Amino acid sequence: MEKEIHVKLESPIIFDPNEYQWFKFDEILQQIILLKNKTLKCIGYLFEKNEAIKLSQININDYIQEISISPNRKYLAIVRNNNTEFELFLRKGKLKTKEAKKTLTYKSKFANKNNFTILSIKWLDNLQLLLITNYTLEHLFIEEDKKNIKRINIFKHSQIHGASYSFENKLILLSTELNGKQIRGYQFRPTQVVKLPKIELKYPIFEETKKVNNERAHREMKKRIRKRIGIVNKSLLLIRLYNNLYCAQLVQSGLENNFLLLYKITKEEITKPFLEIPALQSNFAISVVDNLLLLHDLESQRTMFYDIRDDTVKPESIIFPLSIKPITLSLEKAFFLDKNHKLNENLNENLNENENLDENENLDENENLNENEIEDENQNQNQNQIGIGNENENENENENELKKKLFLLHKKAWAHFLPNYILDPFTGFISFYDIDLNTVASCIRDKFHRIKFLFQRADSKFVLLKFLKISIEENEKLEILSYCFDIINHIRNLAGKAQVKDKSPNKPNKQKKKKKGKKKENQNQNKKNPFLLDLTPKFKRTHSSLQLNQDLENNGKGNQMHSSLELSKETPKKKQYGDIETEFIILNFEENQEKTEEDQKEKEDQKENNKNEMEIANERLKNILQFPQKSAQGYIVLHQEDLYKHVFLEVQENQLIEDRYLISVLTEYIRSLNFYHIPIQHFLFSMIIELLVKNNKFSQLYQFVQFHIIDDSNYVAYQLAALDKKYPPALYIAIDMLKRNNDFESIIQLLISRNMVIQALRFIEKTPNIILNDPIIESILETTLVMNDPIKMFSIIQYFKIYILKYEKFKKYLDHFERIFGISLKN
Amino acid sequence: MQDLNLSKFHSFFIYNSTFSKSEETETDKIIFYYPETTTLKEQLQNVGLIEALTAYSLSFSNKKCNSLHLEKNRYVFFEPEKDYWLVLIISNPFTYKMKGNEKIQKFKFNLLSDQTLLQILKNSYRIFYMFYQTFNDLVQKNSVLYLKSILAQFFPFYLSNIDFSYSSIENTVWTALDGIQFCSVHKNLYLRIKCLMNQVKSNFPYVKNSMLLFEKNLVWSSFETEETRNLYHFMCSQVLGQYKSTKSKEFGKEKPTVKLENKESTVFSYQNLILGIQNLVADIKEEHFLTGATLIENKVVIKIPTIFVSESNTQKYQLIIYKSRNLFLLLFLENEAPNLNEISFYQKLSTLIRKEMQSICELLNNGQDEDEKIDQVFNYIYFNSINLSVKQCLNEKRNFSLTDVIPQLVAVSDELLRKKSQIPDEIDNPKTQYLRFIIEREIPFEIISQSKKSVWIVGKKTSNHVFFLIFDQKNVNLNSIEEEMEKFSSALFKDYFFD
Repeated sequence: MEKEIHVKLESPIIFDPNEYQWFKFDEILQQIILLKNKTLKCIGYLFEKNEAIKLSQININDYIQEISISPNRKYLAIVRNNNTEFELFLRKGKLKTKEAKKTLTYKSKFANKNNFTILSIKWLDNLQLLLITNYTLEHLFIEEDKKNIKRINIFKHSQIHGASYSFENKLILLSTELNGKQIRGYQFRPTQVVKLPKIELKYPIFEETKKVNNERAHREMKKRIRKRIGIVNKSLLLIRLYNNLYCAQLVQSGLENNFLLLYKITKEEITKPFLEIPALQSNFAISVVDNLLLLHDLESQRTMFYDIRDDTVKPESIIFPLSIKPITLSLEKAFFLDKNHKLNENLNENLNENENLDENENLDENENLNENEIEDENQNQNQNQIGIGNENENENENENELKKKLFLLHKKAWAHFLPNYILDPFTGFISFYDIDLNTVASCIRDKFHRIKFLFQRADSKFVLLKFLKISIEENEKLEILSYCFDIINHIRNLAGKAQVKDKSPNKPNKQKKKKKGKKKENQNQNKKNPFLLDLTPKFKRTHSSLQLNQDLENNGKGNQMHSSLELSKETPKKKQYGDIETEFIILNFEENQEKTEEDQKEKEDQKENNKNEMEIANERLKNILQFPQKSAQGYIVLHQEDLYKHVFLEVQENQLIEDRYLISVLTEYIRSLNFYHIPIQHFLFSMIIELLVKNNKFSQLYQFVQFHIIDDSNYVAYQLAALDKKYPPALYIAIDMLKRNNDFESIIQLLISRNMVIQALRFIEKTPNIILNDPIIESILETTLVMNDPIKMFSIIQYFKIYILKYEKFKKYLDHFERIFGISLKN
Repeated sequence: MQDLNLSKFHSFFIYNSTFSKSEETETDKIIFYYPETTTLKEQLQNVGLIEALTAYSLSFSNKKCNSLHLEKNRYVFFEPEKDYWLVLIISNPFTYKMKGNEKIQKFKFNLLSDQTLLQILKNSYRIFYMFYQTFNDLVQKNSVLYLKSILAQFFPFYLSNIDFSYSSIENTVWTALDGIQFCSVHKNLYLRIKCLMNQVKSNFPYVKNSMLLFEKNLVWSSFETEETRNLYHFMCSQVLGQYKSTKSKEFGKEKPTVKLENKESTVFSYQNLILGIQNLVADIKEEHFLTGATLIENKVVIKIPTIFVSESNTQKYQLIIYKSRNLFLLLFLENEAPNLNEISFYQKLSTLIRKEMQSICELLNNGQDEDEKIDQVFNYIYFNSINLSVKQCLNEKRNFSLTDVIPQLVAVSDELLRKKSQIPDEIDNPKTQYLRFIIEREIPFEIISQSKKSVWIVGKKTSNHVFFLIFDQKNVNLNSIEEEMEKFSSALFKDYFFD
């Protein structure tokens, strides 16, 4: 298995499909809902809580068609099979209560129509929901106090075949008319509903979608895979790449002519297909990982990467249709729901299949990788993965027999959910795709493209730093490094500006504080649920200025939450949907750190109080939830600290390159920082000073100070002062620097420490701001005494005559004077 | 002072007493004498005088004396290598005075500065060393005769380029200070330049050092201070000696091209090198190489001089000079670097630096007019002994004429700079411990002088700074001068420690 890994499946939740009557993946809350004996089990990535909800009013014999849980998990909307109404279950009392009771029932006005079917129920927020039937789209509101479901709006169509919904954009696309070729879009904004102009799709919606909604086909499918619902791949999907929202149509005829069509959705319209990705051999599925579009060709077992950056399709934007090796399923963070479920038996088939694949060399035909480059990294990767012990030992004895990694191949039965989840209904696991940035980035040969590519990835920070470090250690051309530093600092600069904007004392700022406070409050309330965000109050109150969203689709693992801040007073301009959330995504790193510190404390508390395996597993899930720090534009922000710690210091320690080169690299970095007006941290100066002194480049050091490349700071001044034995002028450079910083006391101390007492005294006399105080006098006298220079001693003691005679504590100098010179000072 | 006849070059000679074993071979000790027309008798007389004087002075001090003031002439002598003495004789400036009907010369024997003249001697040796290394080396490797032939080739040309008239600040105080005029550059531009230099070095690993001059201002140097000073001096006095700023109208037209002798000669000729470069500098073409691959009469000639940058640095470099308008880039390549004789090397180099040099040059040309406010208020010359930076700020609206001030300035500077060399001697003498205290206490030295024309000059020397301040106010007293001094030093030394 010495194959490089590009795509892997992370943190699977493994369950025994035979144990449950019904299960589905809930895309909004990113959890799997499993039903067994009237009890719903919900295990999610977003919410660490593994909870069970008892549905006492559900009859075991009922077939469930749909269960939809509100974002705050207070309500459950349930549609029983063949029913024309849905029931709303309320979880009573606190969130911890495990029982949900039926409270309301809603029946559509059109329920009596022929063949009326409820297609699905989507939540707009905690109290608003959308009911999609084969004739209508209904916008409903739960009046909690009146215990009523109020219909706000209804949109009628002659026929609705299916719907694609984006929770974060509150956008729903309906495929209507006879063949489902006509697409209608509705966006539910706080105050209005915007209808997007209808658009005719270039190709009809794939048959299977219709089948899903077809009752007969539904029944057939139920027979096939018993009572499981909601696991059929759709062919019309809403995806977000960078700041753009697209409608992706998967056109698959099952024959050779399969392709993906992307329609861009702007605020006003759904544009004509602007991108057609052809040449797929068979059926395929798509995922979005870290703003990259992944196309899984189910027949040839390949996954291809598309980096679609802008509206225009540049040659480099479809970066590399890569052929992919078997996917690894990492079991390190696996969560086993059913203890007796033997996953390995199911997976053995896969392993066998995989061996065959190894012989199948034609998979590599599309590849343009530098094999050697990747191999090393990959080996490290493997070692790392294997090196980590499996902590799940106690959960299941069989597990020990399992390898920590499993190599799988795409299965046709897998259901793909956006952005990057897959559900295997047969084996019984749910997991999400992740890409191995290290190896993927290594595939991009062009260094500029590679850097650009990495900057836009979610957790590429360390990969980026690693690439930088390697580049430096390989004596990369300075021009290229210069370009890299410029990108880094350009982004850093933008991020800095964004933060300033953020901190400006306007309304949103207050709101943000409020939000932060609220968050803490919530955390306190739900100590065991630090990641549980109560959305209700804010959605209710602040439609305009602040929205706290779970950024479900955004970035990478799909399990990251971003707090987004929306400025309502922003001048109106043509925006795209994506803008609403991303333009102001400003993640304050400190805040995050605070948060993680809090989390850690809570974690510790939790460990003490209630340490069971489940909690440990949950913690592990939580560890995945790391916030990448990104600029407002969605680029990774690298700070001076990062480069210093992970690049320059390491390079210096490894000593693979000449100091001269490192000085050049540092100078390039400092040049770039200066160019972008970023204040430079003293540690960079310290490092460059250290290197210059080590190589006896004193003249350069002086020039750096002379041209103000090295900014004045006391820290640097002290460092320079310490160099005066090697380079005497350094003392004066240091003193000059201290003077510019108005640190007169340090100057005096420095002069005294170098036995330059006379200069010190002269300086004191000349500088009006300094008052001669006892400690200074004492240190001058003490130094004079140590210097053992009678002439200096004579003059200095004479100079301080008045003080010496006046204060008892200076008596020893008086005695010393009389002893040495044999005359009394008093005369 | 209208009829003052300026000081003039009298003679220059080099001798080594050890070369003469007996009275018969007395002339052997004279290695070089200029002008050659001087009679042998006079040559021997002058050599004998200096020999006697240096030997005699040793009985008073452990330091050999280095100047002799006579009514008509001033002698300065300098021993760069053991037993090799360089002697310069300058005739003092004089005026004519009528005594009855007779017109007599009246010499002004205190107008010259020993410090300046000594520096001229030191500089001449420095430049010689750059191309030929030490006298002794030449003798050891070849013969005294060879040394003589080299000296005869080098010095007449070198001396002919020196102005001994003592008529400008550059010729006097400036020379004595032996500093470097830096170009004031914004830090971003400085970093850009520095990074370009780094890129050149990383692209051409044989490039070991680099230096950048904007006209006669130093912008960047990768050498240490001492070496930078040598090279700076070489560039300013030799290569750019005749160079006029682009701002002057006659630029490019002034100097007729000099025909070089023995163009094809394989023996290195300093004169040919310098004249060759000077011709190319005067060429108005925007960018080209001055040494390296140069275009002479539509033919590419590759000639690279080899130089030694300082006596402390034994490394031998090959020097390539690239010119972009009034910006000069000096690249010092490791000796015997490959590809240097291939035109492609120069093409590659030129492609790398051309655009960036143009843009830097543009920025420097635009940024030159910015002057600090303080410069307009005070007339001063400033020297920083750490980086050897020297700066001259003379207000254009000043009320005094420079020719009036120079003699006074020379006197002040001579006195002030002399102190520099005296301190170490005194310290070693236990008898003068008290004096030593006074001297230390007296640092900073300060000399205030007033001329007949009521021009005040203050010369001040602190541990790292030397400056001369010229006040042209009339009817002021010492107190107000003191006040002005305070104002000046608080303005100039706002950012610096000043003891």
